[in-house]
Amino acid sequence: MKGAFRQSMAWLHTWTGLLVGWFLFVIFLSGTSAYFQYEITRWMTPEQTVVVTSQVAAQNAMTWLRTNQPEAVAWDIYLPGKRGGPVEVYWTPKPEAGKDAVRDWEKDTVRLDAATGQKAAGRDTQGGYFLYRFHYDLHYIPVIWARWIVGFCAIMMLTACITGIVTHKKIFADFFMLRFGKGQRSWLDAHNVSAVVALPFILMITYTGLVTLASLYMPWPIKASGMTEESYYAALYPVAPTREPTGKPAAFINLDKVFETTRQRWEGAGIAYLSAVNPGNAGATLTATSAPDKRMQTRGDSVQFDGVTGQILWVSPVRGVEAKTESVMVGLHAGRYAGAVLRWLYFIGGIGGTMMIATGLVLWTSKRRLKLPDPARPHIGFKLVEKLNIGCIVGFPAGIAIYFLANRLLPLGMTARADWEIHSLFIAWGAVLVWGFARPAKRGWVEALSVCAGLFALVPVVNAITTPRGLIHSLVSGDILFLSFDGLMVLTAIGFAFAARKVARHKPMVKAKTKASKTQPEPA
Amino acid sequence: MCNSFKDVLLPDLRLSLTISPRWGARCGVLVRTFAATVGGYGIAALWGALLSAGLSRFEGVATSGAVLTGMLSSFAICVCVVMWVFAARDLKRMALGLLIPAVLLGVALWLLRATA
Repeated sequence: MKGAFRQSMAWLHTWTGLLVGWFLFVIFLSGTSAYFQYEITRWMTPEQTVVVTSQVAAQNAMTWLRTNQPEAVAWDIYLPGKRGGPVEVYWTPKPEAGKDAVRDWEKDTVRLDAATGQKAAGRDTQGGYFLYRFHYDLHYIPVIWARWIVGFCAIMMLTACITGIVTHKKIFADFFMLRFGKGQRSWLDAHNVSAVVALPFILMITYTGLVTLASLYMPWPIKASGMTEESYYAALYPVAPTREPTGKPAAFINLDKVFETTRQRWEGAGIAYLSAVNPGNAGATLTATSAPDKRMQTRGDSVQFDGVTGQILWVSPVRGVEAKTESVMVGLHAGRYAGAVLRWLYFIGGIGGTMMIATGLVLWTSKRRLKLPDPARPHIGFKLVEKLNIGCIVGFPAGIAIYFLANRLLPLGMTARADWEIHSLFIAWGAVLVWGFARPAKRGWVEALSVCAGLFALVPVVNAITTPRGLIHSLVSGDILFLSFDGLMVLTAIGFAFAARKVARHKPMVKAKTKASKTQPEPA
Repeated sequence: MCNSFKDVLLPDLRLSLTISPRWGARCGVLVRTFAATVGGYGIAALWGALLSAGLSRFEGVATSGAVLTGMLSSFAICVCVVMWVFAARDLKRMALGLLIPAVLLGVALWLLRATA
């Protein structure tokens, strides 16, 4: 019975993993890049060189709003954190008499350079934000569908993880086992090592990923409790009360005071979001919400100030233990609290998870190739898996390299430039996918891997040619961010080149040899 | 080898009294996939709903907190159910293992709602 249980779990591990493996690979890789979302954005906006504190950014945004939208009935400012990036402002135009104030979220907004407080100069790009959004909203399809697809993949991932642990008898003993050049056995070792090293991270990230969108996936507990979605959200994320404007104009408060007060209240945490209602009026209010840079909890605390006197009018209530748990789980997933070292650990964990998925997908083919009646002419299912492996494991990274290259190469004044950067990613990915299908499997791997290596190697070169912030400049000026980015591109290129060489030199194992090794016990 | 559904889901071959063993096994996989999807989500939803209704009623937990407890734990339940569906020795056991908890959770939830 115990053996049968393990066997059925091995079966489930194999097929859940395979079914969603390609999606998971893409989700994991883009999600991993999101730990450096702001750094990627800064690399992709090389014209913006100065990082300012959120306090300076807020003052600049306020100045812009005062000058350009003095009549607006509400101002909202999304501030960058310590890691830089633009500041986004939104406003609600003053309505015509007798009408309600309405904001057009697409139109009534501008992205400002945090340091200058002017419209962001230079190239139009979504930067790291696109890769971050892609890992749960995908692209070209409605976000709700995308989130359900990603949620389905996540629950499959969780199933594959648990069944993988059950299946794997000697999980920690095998951890020290990495046998090279042994075909299927080596792929299994690589799959195990990446899985065990990153296991706590992988389990955490998958479960907390589901938690970030829990109320979408699992709305039934809300209904069962007798709450409506509105009352549930109102209870969980309380909003400051509104105050009617008076007839009198009055000067808006100085933000320095707001920053000083909140810093004390929040044990040093910064402000992520400022919301002004009726600015310039005697009845104005200003609500500040904390940034998740000091605590694992990701949901912010809010304080509402009188917009003229600076007196505190309202403070968001203390969270219950369940809401705190949710907030910490989402915080663990997003890692916004992490400093530089922990951020790199997050990144390495993410890469480990990505490798685990990739090696698992390759293992599926490696394990079955020798059992094919004629390995030279595999059946259609085998072919499909093999080609999709090339198309995703190499195609998506190649697409990311093209995304970075497009950022440097597309004309600056081009219309819909940011969109075309994104289209470039998918065009390149699609091209590799088609190429993989068109070529014999081994050739397809070698060619795709080589091209991918070349593309990543090109990124620092093209950067040096098209911007004044090339590798030499970064070395001389000690630009850690550009150095790390360019360095990581070179490392990735080396990794893909190494893989290409390995595959090119690979000689398929003789059938007889494999049969002999079968006498040893073999974990699934 | 354990990756062929013919071996793992051998008991499902009973399905194949009328059709070939190969197709019987495939039907077994299909039935289990369907049961895992519907049963996994359904039982997880019932669990979440019951926990949410029960905790706010008997434990004095704030309602939004009770909702969250149900919501956040439901994903673990979903995975357990999926594993059960594929671990059960035959389809009859599998179906019973889904129906009994589903009915128990459902009745408890109904009682809670009816007496509220």
